[in-house]
This record gives sequence, C-alpha cells and structure tokens, in this order.
Amino acid sequence: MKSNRLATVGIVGAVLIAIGVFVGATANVFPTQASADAGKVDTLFNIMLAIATIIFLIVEGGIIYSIIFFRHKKGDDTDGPPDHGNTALEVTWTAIPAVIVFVLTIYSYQVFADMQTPRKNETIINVVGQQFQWSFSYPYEPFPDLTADQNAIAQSNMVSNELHLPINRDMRVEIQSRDVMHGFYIPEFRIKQDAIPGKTTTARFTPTVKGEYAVVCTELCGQGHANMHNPVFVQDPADYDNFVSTLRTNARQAALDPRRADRGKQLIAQKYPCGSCHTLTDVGLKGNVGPNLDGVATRAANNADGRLTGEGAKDAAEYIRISIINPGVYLVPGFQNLMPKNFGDPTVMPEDDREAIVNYLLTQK
Amino acid sequence: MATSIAAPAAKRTSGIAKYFAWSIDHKIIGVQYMVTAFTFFLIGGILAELIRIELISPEASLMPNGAAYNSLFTIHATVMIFLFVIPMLAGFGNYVLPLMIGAKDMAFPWLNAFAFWLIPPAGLLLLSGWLVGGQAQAGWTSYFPLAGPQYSAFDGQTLWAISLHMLGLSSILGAINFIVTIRNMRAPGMGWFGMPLFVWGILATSIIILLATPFLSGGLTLMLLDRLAGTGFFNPATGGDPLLWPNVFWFYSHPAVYIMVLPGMGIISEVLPVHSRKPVFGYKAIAMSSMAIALLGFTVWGHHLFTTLSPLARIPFMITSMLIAVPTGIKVFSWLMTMWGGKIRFTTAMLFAIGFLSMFVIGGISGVFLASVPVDIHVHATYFVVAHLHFVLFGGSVLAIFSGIYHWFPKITGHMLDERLGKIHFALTYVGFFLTFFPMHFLGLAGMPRRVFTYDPKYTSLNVLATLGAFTMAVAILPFLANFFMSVRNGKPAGKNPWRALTLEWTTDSPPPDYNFEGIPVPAADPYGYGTPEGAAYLAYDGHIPLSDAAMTPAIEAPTAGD
Repeated sequence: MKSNRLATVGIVGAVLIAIGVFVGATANVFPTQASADAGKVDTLFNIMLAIATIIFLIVEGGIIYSIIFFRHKKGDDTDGPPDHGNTALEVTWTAIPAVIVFVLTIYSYQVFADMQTPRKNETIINVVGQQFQWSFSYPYEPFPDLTADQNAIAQSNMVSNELHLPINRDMRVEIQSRDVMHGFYIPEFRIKQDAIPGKTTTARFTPTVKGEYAVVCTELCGQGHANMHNPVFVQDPADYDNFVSTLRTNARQAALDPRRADRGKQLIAQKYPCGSCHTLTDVGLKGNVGPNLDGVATRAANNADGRLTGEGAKDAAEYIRISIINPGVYLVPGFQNLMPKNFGDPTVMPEDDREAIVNYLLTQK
Repeated sequence: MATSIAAPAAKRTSGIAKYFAWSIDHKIIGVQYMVTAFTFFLIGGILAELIRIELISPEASLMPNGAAYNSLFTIHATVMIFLFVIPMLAGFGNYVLPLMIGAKDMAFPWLNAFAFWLIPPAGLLLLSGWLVGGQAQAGWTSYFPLAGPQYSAFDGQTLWAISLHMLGLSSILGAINFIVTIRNMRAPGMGWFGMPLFVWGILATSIIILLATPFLSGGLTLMLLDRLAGTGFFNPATGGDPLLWPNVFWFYSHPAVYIMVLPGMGIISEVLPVHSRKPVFGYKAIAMSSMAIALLGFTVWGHHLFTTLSPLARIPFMITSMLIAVPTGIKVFSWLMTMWGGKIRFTTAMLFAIGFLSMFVIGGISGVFLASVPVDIHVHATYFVVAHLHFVLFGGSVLAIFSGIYHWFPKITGHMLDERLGKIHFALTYVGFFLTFFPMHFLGLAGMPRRVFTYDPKYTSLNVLATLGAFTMAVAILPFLANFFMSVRNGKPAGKNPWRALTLEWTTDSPPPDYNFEGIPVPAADPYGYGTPEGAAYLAYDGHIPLSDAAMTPAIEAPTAGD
C-alpha cells in the first residue's frame, strides 16, 4: 500500500519533470538573440520556466484532481476527514521552494555579474534621452587644424538619432536624460537601463547579429512616450566606420560654418526630437502632436495678427527663434503648451544649433 | 460601547436611506465601504475597457493623443488600487471581522465612520481632474520629474496627490481601528490561534498599512510642496534627487500589494474549508506566513527599480524578493491540501476561490521571474509586468473579493444570491480574465513596453485577444449586477448559517441585529473543526447562539479565556 503510493508519486513526479524540461527546452518566447549576453538570460529564463512548469502542473493538477475526485456526492451531508495538517509535508513544501529560490538567486547573480563586468577596449557611445527621442554621440578625435572652440563645436555635432553599432565589438553606453526619466531598452539585446536626470547610468553589450532593431523607451516620459523609439543598426565594422566618418565630415563643416541652413535641416533630422511631435515633409517628420511645420516661414513672415509684436518679434526669424526658446509665448490655436521649455538653455541647444535651425526653417515657405 | 451603538439604533431609518447617512454601526459602514468601492470598480472597469479598445489596433484610434491615453491608465490604476481593492477589503473587514471575533462593533466606531467618509470626496476629487484642464497622466507611480510642476503643469496631478493623501489617511485610521479591535475585543475564549484566518489576514494587512502608508503620505507631502510651494525635493537642478520619490513610493507601494492580497488570502482561507467541508490545512503555517509576508514585504521594494538602482544595490532586493515566494508557496500548498480529500460543494463562492487558487499561482510564479535581476532587466516595464500584476491583483484580489461577496452576501442581506447567475458570472469572468492577461506574458517577453497607446504591428494579434477577453469580462459583470439587484430583497432566505460554517458570524441572525449578538457568543474550539465531534456538536447549535452565561451545557469543553 505504502510502496504503491510511493511508486505513484515517483511516476507522476517523473512525468512532471519530463514535461517541465520539455517546456523549458523548447520554449521560444524571446525575440532574436542579438547580443553576447542574450543567450545567458534566455537560458536562465528557460531553466526557471522548466521549474515553474513543474510547480504549475502540481498545483493545477492537484486542483483538477480534487475537483474530479473530491466532489460532494448528493445526499452525503457528512464532512471530510478532520485533517489539520502534516508537519512533514509542510516542512517539505517550505524547504524545497527555499532551496529552489536559493539556487536561482545565485545563478541569477552570476548571469548579472557577467553582464556587468567591464570589457577591455569598450567603445563608448553617449546616449541622451529627451522627450521624445534618443540621440547618440559617437567617439570623437579632434581635428588638428581646427581651434579648440571649433573642435568643441565639431564634437557636439558627432550626434545622430540612429544607433549604429559595429558587430562583435564590446560597447558601453553612458546614458543621460535632459528632462524626465526614460528607459533605454533594446529587446534583442536583453538590455534595459533607465536614464535619470542629473545622473549618468551605464549599460554594456556586444552586438552579435547584424540587423535593424530599435531602442525603445520603457519609462513613462509623457504624451509622446509611445513614439520614443529610434533605430539600431548592427553592421559590419567597415559600414560603421563609414557612418562615423560621414558624421565626422558633417561635424567639421558644422564647426567651420555652424549656422548654415542645411546644417539646421540635419540637426532637426538627427539631433533634436522635433519629429516626435511635428510634421515637416522636407525632413520626413511625421509627428502629430504639435503644429505642422510645412510652410512655417510663410506663416511667420505674414505675422498678420501681429501676434509676437509685443515680444519684439520684428521678423520671421525672430518669430521662429522665440517659438523655440519660449514656445508658450504664442500658441497656435488648437494646440497645448507641450513643447520642451529648455531649448533656450545653451547646454541643451547651443546658440549655433538654434540659429542653424532658424535659418533652415526660414527656407520652408 | 453599548451606549454609543444605542444612538443609531434609536433613530434607525428604514430601507436603504441609512446607508447614505452618517452611521457608526460597523455593519452599515462595511456596506458603505463595499458599495462605494464597487462603484469605483465599475468606473475603473470602464477606463480599462477604453484602454483595451484603444489597444485593439496598433495605431492611435480611440484616443486623440498620448496624453489622453496616459490619463486613462493612470486613473484606472489609481481607482482600482486606492478606491476599489483597498476599501473593498476594508469593507469586508468592517462588516465581517467584528462578527467573526464576537464583538459588538469596532473599537472606535466614530473613527471608523470618519475613515469611510474620507473616501467618496477623495474619489470625486480624483475624477474631477478631467474637469480642470489636465487629468493626472504620469502613471499611478507618478515618477519625478514627469509628475513635477515643470512637466505636469496642470491641476489634475495636484488633485491626484491630494486625493491619495486623503485615501492614505483613511487607510491608516482604519488600520489602527482593526488592530485595536482584534487585540482587545475578541470574545472570551478566542485566543490568538483561535482567530479565523481572515482575522489574521486583516491583522497582517493593518500592521503593514500602519507602518507603510505614512511613507506614502510623506512622499505626497513632498510632491505637493514641489508642485505648489516651489521646493525641489525631487529636482536635480536644485540639489534634489528624482530617485527619492520612487524609493519612498515603492517603500509604500510594494507592501501595498500585500495590503491588497493578504485579506483576499484571508477570504480564501475561510471559503475553502467551509465549502470543502474540511479543516483548513496548516492553520498556524497560513497565519504565520501572513506575518512573514508582512515583514518581508518591507524589504523588497527595490525590485521595482532593477533598471534604476545602481547594479550592486539590486542584489539584496533580489534575495528578499526571491525569499518571499516561500511563505506564498506555503499558503498555496496549504489551500490545495485543504481541498484534497474534502467533500467539495461547487458553490459560486467556492468556484471563485478555486479560480483564485488556480490563477494566483501563475502570478506568484511570474513574480519569481521578476525577482531575478537579469530576467527582470528584459521584462521590466513591459507587458510581462502588466500580466504579472493583474494575475496577482485580479486573479488574486478580485477573484477573492467575488468569492467573499458570494460567501457573505447571505449574512449581510439575509438572502441567497442566485447560484445559476453566479456560475455564469464566474465562468465569463474566469475565461475573460485569462484571455485578457495570459497573452500579455508573451507580449512582454517579445519586448512590448507597457503604457503605450501605439505599438509595433507585430504585437497586434495578442492584443486583439486581450481586448476580446476584456469585452468578455465586461459582459461578465452583467449577470452579477442582475443577480445582486434581484437577490438583495427577493433572494431565497438565507437563515443564520446557510453554509454550515463554524465561525462566529454564522451564529447570529442574517442580517445581524444592531448589537450583533444577544449576549456574549462562545467561539468554536476550532473555527475549522469540520469532521470533528466538537465541530459537529457546535454546528448542532445551529439557530441558537451559544452564550457563555446561558444555562445550556455545551457539548464542548468550556473554552479558556483569551490571552
């Protein structure tokens, strides 16, 4: 009798473990493993899933078994057996889960420690989150023929809203925020790190699979939160170098003549988050939160209602400039005052950038 | 105490009018809590349906912009947590707990009424955010700087903070009342380990509320100062720290999860033994695991910040968060063994309790995944978390609440709910719930962030499934409402003890008289003594309240006085 019961428990246990291992081994719930650490995270998850499946089946199986075999029979008004507990059983179901979570804690710690360990020769990309876009600053080497000031301007222009990564290189991102909290998340890399105003945070990864992915914001950051995602390109080192050298050429031009209109166009496209709210066909912006910028120069020049006269907006350029620095001065009817208020801060938007943008927008007639 | 409850008895109004007036009778206050909370459940449910309608397609559809959508889920969560689950469970506590321990009322009846009457104005204040030109939209977590004056420059966010302040105060006052009532007002003969497990659940919850809610209140005070008085506690530009808020917030809000779950677990611990006709398995283990969860619950808040805190600071929170699975597991296995070998009666209350057990275990298991730092880094702030929290709070708290409603409705109204409508309600709720939230695990693992109103079209099919589930749940509430309104007056008469239960609330009339018990009731030697001679003897008194000073000779040994 007792050995019969033991045999039953043994057989049921073996079947449950087999199912658990099968589920853990065959589960396919993740996106592409595109970084060196992604596989470790997935393996950890799948092992947890195998254990979870076993526990899940024990509980649900016990419920279903009880429903079928321990249902009240009609006419039987007696109670069940006065079974108040079983110390051995209770110790077992306290001890086994305790051991399981102990092992999982140590295993998780090891995976996490691996992910956090600094690599030699990391390539550093600085990431800035702001409502509602990411921008990425690439490594910069000074031009020997430029002055220190010009080099500073050039460096500040090594920026793109595309994250280009050379395959199989150890990368480190230094993440900052210009306004509220954001979350830097690349699902295919299994990497997520918050951007916190006033702090710099770090994430490490080694991209291993070429392709196009996305950096998605995962910390609620305002009404454009759902639109806050930027493309990630994992590419051959040669393609990456090409991208960086193009950026570098543009940066040099910016340093030599920082207020050119075509540079303004590039800044709108690459550096500032205008496109998360505004539409501007010339640049391909499709935002629908703020006013459409197509033909903004004409409207600014008309200034028919003299709406900015009181603020000293004597011409179209001044109107656009004030609207960038202090967007609440004149609100286009039907729109709320939602644009970031910190573009007047030269650490957020240098004067040269602003003037380049003003010059460019003046061409949008 | 006798004098203070004599007053409402004297000017007692007939019908439902008394529920709209100031009353210090714990039973009226209990009903006031529950009906108010349930009204907010319907409001929060409508908001949830709007969320799911928006998400049925990947592009913007119902909502004009992200701001409108952000308000939806901000207020949905705030309403469900602070205006539904917490006050609903406080309502159960108010109504049932004094009866369960054989008391005539709560320890502080006036304070009890005051705590309740903070809730309706707080709720209206919260909802009125839509009328003041900008509802709160920074999420129920309201992280800074987004919730600060610079990025949420509208009054809704301020009203949100004031409303939560009032609800927090209500919670604290209620908790003090419960603790004192449980400590001082148990009937003679009821020792600590003679208390029904629902009482243990409320005790553990009240201790958490008393210790944790002041942190929420403190945080909200700082938030209001930052917003209204120009301070900068959370503003890095003036030396403040934006991480102060999430730490203070989660120091309250993680324990708040247990505030919302432990009384539900208490309800389950009552319903399962009664309808399985078997003693609860491992009484002391269940009672003590509630206390262990309450204690450990204060040490895990950092797991909400596994992508925020410095890497080293995440490790201790991983250890404690993993550990808290153990007492939760003890409960689940104990409930399972309570059913095992019983003579289960599939009443609607029991079905909801079984539903709880089968769904809560999924939320418990997914919680272990979230406790693992590397796994959490991938799924943090994705739909995996949305799935997890709804398996805990809907699969857990809400199913437990419905189980409790079907279980105690006969006691509260004197009428039975219709079982057929109840079973339809259960089936639709159960299927709809699973359909809504189970697919979200896969959305999160695939990388879909939460709190977005537009999404990558590759996530569409599972979102459609979730929305269909949400529609099913909306339909599910209709048979319940019909059942409620039909049965509240015309349901089958319940009698004192329709379930043949052993806890004290079933020894008095349904509904109980103003004074609850004639004389001092004698608790059963074991509130779960099903299948024992003592239990059978106690049940034989059905219809007669055993009084300690009565002339009858109880078949059970005279109980010794409590502590």
